[in-house]
Amino acid sequence: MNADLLAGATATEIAAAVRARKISAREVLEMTFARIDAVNPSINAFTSLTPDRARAEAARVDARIAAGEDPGPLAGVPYGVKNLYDVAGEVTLAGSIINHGNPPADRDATVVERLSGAGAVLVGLLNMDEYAYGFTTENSHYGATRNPHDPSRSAGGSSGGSAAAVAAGLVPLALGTDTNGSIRVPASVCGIYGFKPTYGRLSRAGVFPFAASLDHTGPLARSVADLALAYDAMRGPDTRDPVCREEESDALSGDPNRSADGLRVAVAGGYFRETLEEQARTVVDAAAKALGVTDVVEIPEAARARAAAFIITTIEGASVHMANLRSRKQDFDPLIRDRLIAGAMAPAAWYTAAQRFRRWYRDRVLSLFKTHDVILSPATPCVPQPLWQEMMTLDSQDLPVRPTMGRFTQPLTLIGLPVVVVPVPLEGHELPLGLQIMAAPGREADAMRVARALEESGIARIRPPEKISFQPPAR
Amino acid sequence: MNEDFDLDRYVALMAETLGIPVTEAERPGVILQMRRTADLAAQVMEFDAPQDLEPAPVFKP
Repeated sequence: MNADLLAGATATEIAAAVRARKISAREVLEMTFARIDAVNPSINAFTSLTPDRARAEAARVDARIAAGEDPGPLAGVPYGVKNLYDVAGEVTLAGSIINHGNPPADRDATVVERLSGAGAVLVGLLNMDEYAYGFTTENSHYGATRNPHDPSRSAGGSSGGSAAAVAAGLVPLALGTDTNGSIRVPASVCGIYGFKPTYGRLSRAGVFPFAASLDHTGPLARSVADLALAYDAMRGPDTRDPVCREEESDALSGDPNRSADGLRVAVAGGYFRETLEEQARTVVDAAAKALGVTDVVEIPEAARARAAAFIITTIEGASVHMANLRSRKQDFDPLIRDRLIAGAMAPAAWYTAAQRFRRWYRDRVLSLFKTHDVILSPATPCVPQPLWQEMMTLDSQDLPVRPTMGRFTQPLTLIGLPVVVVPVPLEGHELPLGLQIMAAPGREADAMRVARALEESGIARIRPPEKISFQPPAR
Repeated sequence: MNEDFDLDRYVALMAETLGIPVTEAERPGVILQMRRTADLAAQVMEFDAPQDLEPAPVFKP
């Protein structure tokens, strides 16, 4: 496996090659660092690397293989984590300068611990909107992450570093977080796969909080199988996270009933067909055609759901930062400061009304899953937008770019539905825009099966970026 | 909900109540954000929820 092949390889392929002794974990790692050195300056995905830890983890994998032991299902797979995850010995900056003063984490976030236990090799930390409060990864302290498909455009956010690193072939796997769409938006506009399991399925222990009622963790990757592989390594109860479910969930890799046949699939109508670029409609229509889907369902009150998600987010988000808003307001990223201040000042009545509406909305949406197993919608209303652009026009409406990117993701995180995003490249459209595949809570497998069906039919696939400039490798 | 409430006065009062000083230069940005938040809150507040509706979060002792 040479460096070029590695850049397009999936986690599954790398782990298989390492386990079969075709390449060592150490060799994979050194090629990964060489590629990061060459490409990262063009996209600003990684904000720091963890070479000592990575070499120790790779050496452990190689030693296990040499000793004839099982090196784990993710043996030698390099990965990065959004800078929101605790990594032992590193300060969890969360895209801020305020957190610089915090002590280094004394242990890994639970899911990082589990990936390492499965043989994966952590290579570094990835850029994000400050405190995850954004959809564009325009960070005033650490710079914007650039989209590998067009470096003048946003990589989406807030897990933009994670998505850009995977899309540019720096790592096959990255962890992001999703409170309003922060895995799904960057996966969509970077043209890769993203997975936000049901709320409470994956531990959030050791992950810096944004809005606790809505915070999720999850992977971004280059194939459906890799999403499943990562999920399986991370799943399971965790007493460190009060939201994490106490029961085991089923493994998704090698799901014995892989076919999507028999699943009742519908397209989301109404709100999810409005205020969007034509490409977003076409992506959904292409997937529906490939699956033979003609049903349309209406997700009720989606606009109000988005408003409720906004209110819960801004108020819970502000509560995390109240002390720093009092004492060192100037140190926040100007892009989020006013939202945190407004959230701090919002009356309690707005919050309780949003949490009560959320219950009503949950019950109504769950009733849709009596007649359908899976619902399709666009992941974003548009392709990636130019960095630092304030406004855009969709269906003749002038809209602010940053909040509008979450139009189709926010109504779903509000009630914690499992969602897989798959890339659906179209002829004549250079920029990516992904498909959301949502299922009932706890029914990750249904969304995965539809994602696999689309991948197997060739509708969903990674299109390698052509525009990133490659500097000569430093070593 | 009264959507025409005096945001300028509200922000000044809350700044004082919470001990989050808002300077003259910062005031327009905060008020604009408060306006956006209030507009979205209005959509939630006008929802006719049944009185016996449980809020979403569940606490397990």
